[in-house]
Amino acid sequence: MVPAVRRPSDLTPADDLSVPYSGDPMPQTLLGLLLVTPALAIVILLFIVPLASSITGAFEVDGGHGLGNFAKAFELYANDMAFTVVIVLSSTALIGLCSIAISGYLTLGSNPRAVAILRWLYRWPLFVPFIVVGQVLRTFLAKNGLMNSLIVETGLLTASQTTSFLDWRGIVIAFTWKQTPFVTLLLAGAMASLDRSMIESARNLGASRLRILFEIILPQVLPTLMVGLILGIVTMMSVLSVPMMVNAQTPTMITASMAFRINAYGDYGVANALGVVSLVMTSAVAWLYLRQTMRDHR
Amino acid sequence: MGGYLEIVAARVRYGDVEVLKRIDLSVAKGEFVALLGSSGCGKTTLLRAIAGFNPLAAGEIRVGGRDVSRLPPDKRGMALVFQSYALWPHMTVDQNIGYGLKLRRMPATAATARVTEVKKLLGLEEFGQRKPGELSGGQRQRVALGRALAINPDILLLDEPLSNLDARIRLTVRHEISALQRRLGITAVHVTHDREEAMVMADRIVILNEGEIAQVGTPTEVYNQPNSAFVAAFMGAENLVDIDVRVAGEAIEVAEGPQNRRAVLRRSGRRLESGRAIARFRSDAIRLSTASATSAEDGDDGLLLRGTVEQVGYPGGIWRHVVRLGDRSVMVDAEDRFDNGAEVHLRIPGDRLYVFSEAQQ
Repeated sequence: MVPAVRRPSDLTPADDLSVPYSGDPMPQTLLGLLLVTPALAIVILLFIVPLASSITGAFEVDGGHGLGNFAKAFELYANDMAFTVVIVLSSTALIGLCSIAISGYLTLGSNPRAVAILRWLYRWPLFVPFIVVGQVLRTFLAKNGLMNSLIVETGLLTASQTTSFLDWRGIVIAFTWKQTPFVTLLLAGAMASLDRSMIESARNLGASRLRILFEIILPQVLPTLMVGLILGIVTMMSVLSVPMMVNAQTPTMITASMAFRINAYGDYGVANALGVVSLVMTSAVAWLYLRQTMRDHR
Repeated sequence: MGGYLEIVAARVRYGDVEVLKRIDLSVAKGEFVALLGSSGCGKTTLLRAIAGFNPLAAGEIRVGGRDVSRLPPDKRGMALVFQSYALWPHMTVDQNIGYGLKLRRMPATAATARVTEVKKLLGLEEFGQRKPGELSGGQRQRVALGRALAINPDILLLDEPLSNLDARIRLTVRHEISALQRRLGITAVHVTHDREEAMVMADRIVILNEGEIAQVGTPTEVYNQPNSAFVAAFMGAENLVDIDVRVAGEAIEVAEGPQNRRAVLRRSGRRLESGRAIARFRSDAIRLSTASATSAEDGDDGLLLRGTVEQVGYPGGIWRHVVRLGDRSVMVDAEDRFDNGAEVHLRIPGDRLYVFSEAQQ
């Protein structure tokens, strides 16, 4: 018989202390709820309530309900929506390629020094805020910026032939530069946790490193790559600073349009409608991902 | 010696540690050689060096007279079966087995035919469309073997391929692998830490100890004529007594000691010097009798030890006794049970006694 209440002196070496103490179930349940309450309150107050109010706000037109805000949003900002989709998708494709290349080299690279240097270098952009990325690229990609100066210096182009990259290309470069390390971090971790002998058995049969990467490693870490890219998409959909700083023209990204709508017109209705549109976009990606994982688990 | 696979003065280092210290080994074509040793002895390192995954710090590896030491793993005509099988979980059995053929750009019809042939050889016909995750351990092991055999390697390298199987399956797979190896006439190098596995599967056994070859020989040679106390112990002669010997021509005189009677053994080619020595023997090589019943026929090519039974157990078939001999104790198997505390005599025949000078150790 185990006594209902045990003192520390009752413990024997056989007692597994990792099993939660379950002498009195009532206080423990209460304590658990108490511990969860602050987090739950914050989620409800700061996340669910504002989200719900901005979603319902999107459907409020002149005191009543309707789709007026959406009609206006599509009429004024359809180009921006398409622009956003194109920017985010092309950035995602580039991020995917770069992170596969970097994590592939980290996993399969034969020069230990080069691998160590790359491992040390690739994470830096993670610690640079988006706004700083925007600032840096602004000076780097401008018509008279550092990049064009270097190109002119090498004699590839003359000063009159150079163009400014401060448009959609600048945003794509900024997103790729900033988000690649994050996806690489996840992907390289997944690759490193694969059984090393799977790579060796392919080498043993004569597979080149490129084939090993694409035929042996990548298929096994694809779910991780997808998670990384989807998180990247959600982040890119919510960045305001980069389009504001790098692309000071139209069309621009939905985030910039929303800010403009609020700052210039105080028009929360259309801004909310634009917010719902971007929420639908990210939800679509999340749904694709969920469908994929469900299929994998079946 | 005209071996097919030859390892000449091979050394392998991990940083400052020399893991393999000058290994010389010659394997004939079609031979099955087992590399046997406890963990950390360098057996897997040697196999990986042969396969091309561990670079040699010095020495050479030759196949059919050709130096392959600097060639990448796939150019050596070898296929390695990994301990963890290393199957690719996202590919079906067919794709796993056929991957090497795909890499060799074999036409699809020929590759399919070869995969079918390999599956038939290994009894995997019905599993072609399954993924490795849907197979049992034994089936996975056969897929790994099939993947290696599909490319028709000259040499098959096996890295503890049975260690992940449960004990009963292991016994049958042992025989399957060695039967297959004989049928295909393929040269095989097998790494194992399981003595019995090496004994029943291999034509020759290479016993490794701390990066060096301790002994090479047929299973009967390494079992019955161990060349060192280490090999004797590794091959199961765990019991140990200290004795004093005097070598006189073809005879070895064992002086009367606190635990043993005076004895004369035939030398039988033993390399031994007069002086302190140790004798090793297996627990099943002993005739056990009560001290009072021993007759006077002792001393003639055999050693007689006096001890006290300390513990008795019944592992099945025989009684296993722990017998105390002075400050050591030994294990003795006997048909009859002797009670705790009984004074007993242990008689070990000369040819089952492995004697080594203490200096040799």
